Amino acid sequence: MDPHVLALSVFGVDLEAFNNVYAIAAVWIGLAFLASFISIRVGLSVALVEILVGVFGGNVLHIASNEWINFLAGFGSVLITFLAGAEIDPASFRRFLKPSLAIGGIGFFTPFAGAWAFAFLVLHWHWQASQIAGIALSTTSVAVVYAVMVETGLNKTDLGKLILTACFVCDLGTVLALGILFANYNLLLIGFAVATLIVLLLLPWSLRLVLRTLGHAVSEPEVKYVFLLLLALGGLAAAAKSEAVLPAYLLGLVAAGVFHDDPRLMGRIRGTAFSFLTPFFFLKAGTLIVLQAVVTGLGAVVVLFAVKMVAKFIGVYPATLAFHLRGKQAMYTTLMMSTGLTFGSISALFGLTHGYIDRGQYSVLVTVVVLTALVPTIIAQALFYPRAHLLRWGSESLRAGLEGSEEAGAAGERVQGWRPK
Amino acid sequence: MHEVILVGVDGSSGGYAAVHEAAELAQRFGARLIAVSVEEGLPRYAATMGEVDEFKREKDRYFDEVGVEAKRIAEGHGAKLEHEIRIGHAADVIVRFADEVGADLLVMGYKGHSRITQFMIGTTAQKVNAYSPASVLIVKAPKEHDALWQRVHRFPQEE
Repeated sequence: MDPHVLALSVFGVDLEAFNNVYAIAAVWIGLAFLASFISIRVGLSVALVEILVGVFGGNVLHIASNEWINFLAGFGSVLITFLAGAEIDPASFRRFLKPSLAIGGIGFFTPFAGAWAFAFLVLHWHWQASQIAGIALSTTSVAVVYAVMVETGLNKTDLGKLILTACFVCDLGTVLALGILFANYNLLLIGFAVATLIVLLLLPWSLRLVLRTLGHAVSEPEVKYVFLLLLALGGLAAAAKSEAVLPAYLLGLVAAGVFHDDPRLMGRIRGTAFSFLTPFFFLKAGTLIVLQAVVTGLGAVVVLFAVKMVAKFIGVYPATLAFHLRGKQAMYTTLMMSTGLTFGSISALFGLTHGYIDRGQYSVLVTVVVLTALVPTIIAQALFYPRAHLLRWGSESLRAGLEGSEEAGAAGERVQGWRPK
Repeated sequence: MHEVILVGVDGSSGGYAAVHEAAELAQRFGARLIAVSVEEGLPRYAATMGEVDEFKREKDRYFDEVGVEAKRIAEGHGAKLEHEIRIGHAADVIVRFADEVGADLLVMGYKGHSRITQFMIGTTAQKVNAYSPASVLIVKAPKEHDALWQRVHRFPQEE
């Protein structure tokens, strides 16, 4: 019997007739609604709650995905990756190019190499499974970092902007690794690379053209245009055995300027993604976690979590010192860059879908990813929150800094003790 | 007697009653009157930055309205009120902010809670009272005001 029907059969009625697309969709959307309710009530991210609700659905209700759910979940992951890329602030990225490339690059590479080596040499996972472990644990969650920064006011300071742009660079490393390491190196890959390059070069201009000529019509042509590019490049990526999130993230980064100028476009795509697509991705990611595997693999969970934290510390902490961050600021930055959620889940699911890791390894990896979203943030907030931030009441020069002016930058440097190159 | 009076305002009936009381005291003592609102429940561990921004926009809009209402109440007592919005845990932020502005009196509204809630987590006013460096005045809203505010306003932060 289909797992969905089995789940519904608890009511003691023969529900075989409900084994149809609408009933199955209703179960999944019902879980998504439940996740939204919990997330709003407890103040946790809906993505995290969807994963946890998915764990409940998979382990208690025994629901499982099918072909159309896989498509919705896959497109959800592509769309959330695109949105993540499009959230970069191009001005900050240009301003902090050198330190963010250095900190973000090291922030990606050390946990990637560390977790890869540890999984291969110590846990004796096979080569490709170890690579997936490295990629899944190399990530930094920009959104987790951003949420903490908004709360502390750091997002308006130079230090905060540097950390955020470094996080984008780190995630770029993750999607590049995911898109390149497992690809087939043949003509299709060259075709995919050339097509991606052409689209990247033309996207800002063409998207502005679509917006200018067709505007925000009821039929949402600009949203369809973005979907068209994402699906077309995703199709090419899949043909080349690469990963659709790679072009999605790159397209997002390139389109960020257009999205900053036109927040309505971002709102419409986000609305589509969060209401219908990303719930399928995060719920599916949760349903595939086997609780028993997490319990039996608890040792692996602990050591892989420790490996990620230590590797991030080894990589990021000296880099922060090199860029004149000191004391709590340096430790705070390091811990913030140790967080992970979306890209870690995407990487682990990619590995499972393509058969590089099994359900047990997947369960361990996603559990570690969820832990990395929670633990470093809690430690950073509790022990290393830099108190001397810009929110001093009555100091107009410093308060002006919150508006992002030149004066703000200078004020931020004085208070934070950090000077941009 | 008082030079800087800080009042916590969250849009609840108790909060507005505290503004009435604080404004009256500020007017009598010629004190500076500052109101602080705290945005609680920011989605941590978010999947996108937009999720955080959206929440903040909603809260900002709500507390901007609360600030306008608080200023109107203060003006009714002949006092000028400055309004500040902060993010975080209400009791923690209010205590820190009181220290920041050098408040010598902190006025808080009292909100009724179930006995279980009070026992388990306490109220914001209780926590502020415990940790504030300044004197704390806790104001209870009259019942008829309470009913009026409940009709006029939504209280997203009330437990």
